[in-house]
Amino acid sequence: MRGTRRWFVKVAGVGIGSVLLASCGGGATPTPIAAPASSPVSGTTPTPAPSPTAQAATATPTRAASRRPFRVGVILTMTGSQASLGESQRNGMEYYLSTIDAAAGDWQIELVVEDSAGKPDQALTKAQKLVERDHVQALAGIILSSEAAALRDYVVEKKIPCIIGNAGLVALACDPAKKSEFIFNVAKLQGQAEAPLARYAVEKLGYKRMVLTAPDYTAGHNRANVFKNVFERAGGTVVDAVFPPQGTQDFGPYLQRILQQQADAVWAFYSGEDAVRFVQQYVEFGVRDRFPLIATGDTVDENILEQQGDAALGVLSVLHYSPLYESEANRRFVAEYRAKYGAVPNQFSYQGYLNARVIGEALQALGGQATFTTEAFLQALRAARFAGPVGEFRFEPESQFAIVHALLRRVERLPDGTLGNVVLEDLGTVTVSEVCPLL
Amino acid sequence: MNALAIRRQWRLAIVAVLAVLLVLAPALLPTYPLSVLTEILIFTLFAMSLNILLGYAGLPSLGHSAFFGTGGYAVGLLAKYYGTPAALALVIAVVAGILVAIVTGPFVLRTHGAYFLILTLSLTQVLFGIVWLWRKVTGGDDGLPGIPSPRIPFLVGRISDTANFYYLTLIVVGIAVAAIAWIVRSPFGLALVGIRENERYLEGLGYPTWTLKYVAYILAGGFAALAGGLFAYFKGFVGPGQISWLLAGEGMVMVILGGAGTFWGPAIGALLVLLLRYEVSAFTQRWVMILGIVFILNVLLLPQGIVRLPQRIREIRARLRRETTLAPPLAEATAAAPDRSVERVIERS
Repeated sequence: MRGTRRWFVKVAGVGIGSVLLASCGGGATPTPIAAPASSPVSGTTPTPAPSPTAQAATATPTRAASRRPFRVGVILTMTGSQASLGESQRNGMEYYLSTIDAAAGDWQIELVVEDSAGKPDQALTKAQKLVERDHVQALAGIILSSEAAALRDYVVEKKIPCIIGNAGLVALACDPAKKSEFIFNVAKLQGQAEAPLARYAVEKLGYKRMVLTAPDYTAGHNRANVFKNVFERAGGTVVDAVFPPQGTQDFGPYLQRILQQQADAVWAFYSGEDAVRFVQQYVEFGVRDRFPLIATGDTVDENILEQQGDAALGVLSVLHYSPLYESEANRRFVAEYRAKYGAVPNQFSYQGYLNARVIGEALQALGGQATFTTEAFLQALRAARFAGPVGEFRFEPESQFAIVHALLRRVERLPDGTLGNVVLEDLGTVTVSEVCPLL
Repeated sequence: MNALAIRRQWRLAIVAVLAVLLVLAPALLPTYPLSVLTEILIFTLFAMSLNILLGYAGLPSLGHSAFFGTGGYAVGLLAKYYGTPAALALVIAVVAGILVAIVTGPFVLRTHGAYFLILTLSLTQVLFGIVWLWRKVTGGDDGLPGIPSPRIPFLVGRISDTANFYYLTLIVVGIAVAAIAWIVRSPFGLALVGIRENERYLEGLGYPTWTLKYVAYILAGGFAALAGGLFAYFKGFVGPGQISWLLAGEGMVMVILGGAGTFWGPAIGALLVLLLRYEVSAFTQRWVMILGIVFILNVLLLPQGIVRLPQRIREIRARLRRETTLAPPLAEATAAAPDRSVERVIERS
């Protein structure tokens, strides 16, 4: 008898398991037919379905009712080591939408944020979810270039406009076989900061011999390559290039190697925790006393400056953004962003802002068109031009990457006691097409 | 004995229902859940292959992603440089996984327990370092994108590409899972359980335990490489994340969550972990925390895995009724099999 009961309960267990499996299907079937954006053509959909992540849709119901929903799937690194980038990027997007009540032209913009956890395969699954279940009309965000590489074919196959907010994947800009009319990039490509900085180092700073250092991964090598090519074409010599692994705790051996060189200065690219440690140890090991440090802006990014403290003072860097850039639009952006999120916007917040704004501007340009076509939306994106926080924003037609301003910045202590990247000079605009041959 | 026969019939019936559901899934599900299901199938195979080592042979490997990644990179490199057809590439991927296991086995199998864990972990890290640094060939951290996804030819045009690849995965994983089922129920599989329970005793009985473990390691490597190759085709790219020890850790979570040493446990674990990752993360950024809580609760309350839930309930009920506790569940560690001679030997020991 006992045995009979045992097998029955066991069978029930397997049954529960199979129900679980079936409910995976069931749970994963949210009736997409009823999703408001599944038929973007019909303007009669009453209110957009409440999305847990679309806090930005703050418009009053009456306004929302008269507009058609435009769903943007945003893929960001919300967990993992790159989480702060995703957070800043999302804040930037939501900030922009709050300034226009998420309304653009005939549309009510809705963000559906999904976490990639920094994993390319998860990013791809999330893209499938956003496109196939949530029926988003465009994709945005995307932090890591490996994620962009994983998404590229899917986006092109599904013909979904994709406006990348950060990932500067070289192939998407420079490889004719990988470029696509569906893919835009509001951020920067690896090398867009390094090329003007290298030129400036030779021409204005008079450096002849330099040591380069960056983490040992693709972006680090690409950036160092661009710097080297520009620097050597302008008449300088790169005497050594040092590539410590990502996540290096003790830069001592690498700094020792740098100290043994005969050089005028050191160029560095690091980001996140690596940048904090590198800049601090650079001073502690006394390298700073021998070689001035010039860097790509990420090395002294606003979100790590306070951690670096006085060690960062005086570091010259080039980046496409600084919260201290002098313009009416930027002052307003910084003040309102700070009031909303309690922190100064950094380059990722700025890119998030551009990411949302370029979508808003394109929808605005579409105006009251009766039907939404991807073709018209892509056309409007290509034609988008507006005065952003840092000068005029537009895409370079050949690459569909943003034309960025290279700002020369220096870390200084501000009157309020915090550290900031003071803009010394605008080194002009840089296009991706100029950078491609240098990579 | 009669109860045993009925139980087996029930089991067969449930497996049959499950199989029918899986075959009909493309008709019932939209494309996105179908692609999640495809991923669940692939990770089921991965977790089951790890279960051969971790669950049956009692070898805690933190390096199983080495085989998964080897399979993935084999497929990626063959597609990129030679345009090899998928069927051949998958076979080569399996061979590559087996080769890695043959070469590394003699080193890692010299050890037990925590030392085995550390050695397998180092093995993964070595391979990870190679693919990360050998940028020209493996694409470094950007990986190898653009692997063309294979299709079942006669279904092209009749069903969506997602469904087509789903069926391909279902067939391959189905065959592999059947093979694993056959392996773990064979005398060889039972001997592995014996090794887990008392290796020296088995050795005393004259079993060549080292060779048995070596063969299990090689088999597990081959199946994991097959899963890795399928995953590379499924995602259309392969990157260092697919060879990183984090993936091996995730596989371990799947196996332990579902129930190590049980046949269906890893499948349930894979299902649960992936649903948490894809469904819960859409609602909260704290999905990793939820996974952690589920895992802790599971280990505390159901230390032998979710698959043992009914048994656990029965035990608790028995205790509440102040009955004597039922026979220790050890005898049921493996799925029902008529011949469990080795286990009986162990039990007597």
